[in-house]
Amino acid sequence: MELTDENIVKNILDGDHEAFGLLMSRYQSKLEYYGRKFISDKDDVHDLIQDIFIKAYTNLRSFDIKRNFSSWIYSIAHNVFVNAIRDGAKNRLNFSLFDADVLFPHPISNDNADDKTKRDEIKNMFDSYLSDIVPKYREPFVLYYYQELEYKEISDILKVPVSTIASRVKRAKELLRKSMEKSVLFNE
Amino acid sequence: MNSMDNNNQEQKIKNGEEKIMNAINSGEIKMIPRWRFVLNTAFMVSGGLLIFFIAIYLISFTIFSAEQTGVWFTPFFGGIGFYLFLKSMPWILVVLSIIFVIAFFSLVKKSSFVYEKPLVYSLIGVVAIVTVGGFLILYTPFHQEIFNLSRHGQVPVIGVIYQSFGPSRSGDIHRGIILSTTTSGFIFQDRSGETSTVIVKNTQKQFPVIGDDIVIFGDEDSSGTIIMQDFREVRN
Repeated sequence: MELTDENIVKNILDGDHEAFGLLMSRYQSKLEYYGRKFISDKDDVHDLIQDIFIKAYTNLRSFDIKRNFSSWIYSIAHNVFVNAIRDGAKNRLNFSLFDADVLFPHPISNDNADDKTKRDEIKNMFDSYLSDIVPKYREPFVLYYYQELEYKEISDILKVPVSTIASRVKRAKELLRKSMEKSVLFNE
Repeated sequence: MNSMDNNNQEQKIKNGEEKIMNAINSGEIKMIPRWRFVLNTAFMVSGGLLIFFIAIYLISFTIFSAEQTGVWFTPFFGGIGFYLFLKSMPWILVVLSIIFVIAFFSLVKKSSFVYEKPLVYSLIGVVAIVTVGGFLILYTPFHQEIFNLSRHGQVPVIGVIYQSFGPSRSGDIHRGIILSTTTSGFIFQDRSGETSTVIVKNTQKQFPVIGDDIVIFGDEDSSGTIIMQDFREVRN
C-alpha cells in the first residue's frame, strides 16, 4: 500500500530525511503546473519550486500530521508565487490585498460536486483562455480543476471562506466562457 | 527539438531535487526546531490576548470617561446635545480603541475559525465581543476604583490619564451631585470635587433633590455659576 503524504512526513520527522525526496517527486509536477498558470518563465517557476521545497522542509515541524499535507504545501506555494509576482518586474499580475467578495456570504454553487469527467472536460475546454482572467479568479479555478482540490482545501490555502471559493470558481467559468466566445467570434 | 527541451527540463528538475537533498544531508538546510514554532505561537497568542484586553479596556475607559464628564448623556438633550456629544467625545480614546480592534482582527483573521466565515460576520463578531467585554468591565467598580485612587495620587502613571479624561468639564455639560438647594437653584459638586452654584431657568421637569447624580446642560459664566437649561438624572 502506498504511503500517504502525512505518513511520509512522519517518517521524515522520525529521522528518515531521504523520504523528503519522495514528497518532492510527488509534488514537483503538480506545483510546476500550478506555478505555470501564473508565471510564464519555466526557469523562474523551477527556482520558486525549489524555494517552496526548502521552506516546506525547514518548517516541517510546524505541520500538524492530522491535517492535509497537500493543503499545507499549496499554502506555502501560494505565498511564494504571490510574493514572487508582487516582487518581480516580470509577469507582474494584479493580486489585490483586499477583496470585497470575502466580506459577504455567497450561496454555494451547485457546481461543487463536479465529477472527474466534468472537471477534465471543463479544464480542456478553457485551458488556452486562462491567461485572460485575473489571478483572483484564475487561482481557485486552477486549484479546483487542475490540482483537483476540494473547496475546503482551497479555502485553507487561500484563507478565504468556502462560499467565496465557490463563487470565484463559478465567476472564473463565466469569464472564461465569455473569453472563449469572444475569441470564436473574432476568428470567424 | 521539443523532446530535447523536455529532457533539459527533466534534468534541471532532477538537479534541483538532488541539490536540495544534498543540502539536507550535509546539514546546510535544517528543520526549524519545534520549540521555535511553539514559542512563536505562544507569542502570537499572548500578543493577541494583550491586544484583545487593551481593546476591551480602552472601550470601557472611553465610555467611563464620557460618563464622568456627562458627554455620554448629551444626546438625550436633543439636536444641540448630539452636537455636543460629537464635539466633546474623547475621540483620541475612540480612535485608539478602533486601532486596537483592527489590530486584534488582523491577528485572528488568518485563523480558520475566522476566515471560514464571511469577513463581515467575523468583523461583527469581534466588534461585538470586544464591546460586550468593554460594557462588562464598565459594570464593575474597576474604573471607579482607579479613578478614586488617582484623585489621591495613589496610582502612578495611569492615574494621570484618569485625571485628564475623567473629571474635566466639557463645555456646556457638567456632571455631579446636588449638595444643597438655594432660592434660585442649587449647589452642585462635580466629579473632581469642585462646587458650583447653579441657577435654574424654567424647566418643565420634576426638580432634582439633594444627593441626586445629574448631568446639567447649561452655560458657565466667569464666576463659575452655571445657568441650567436642562438636566438629566443619572441612574447608577
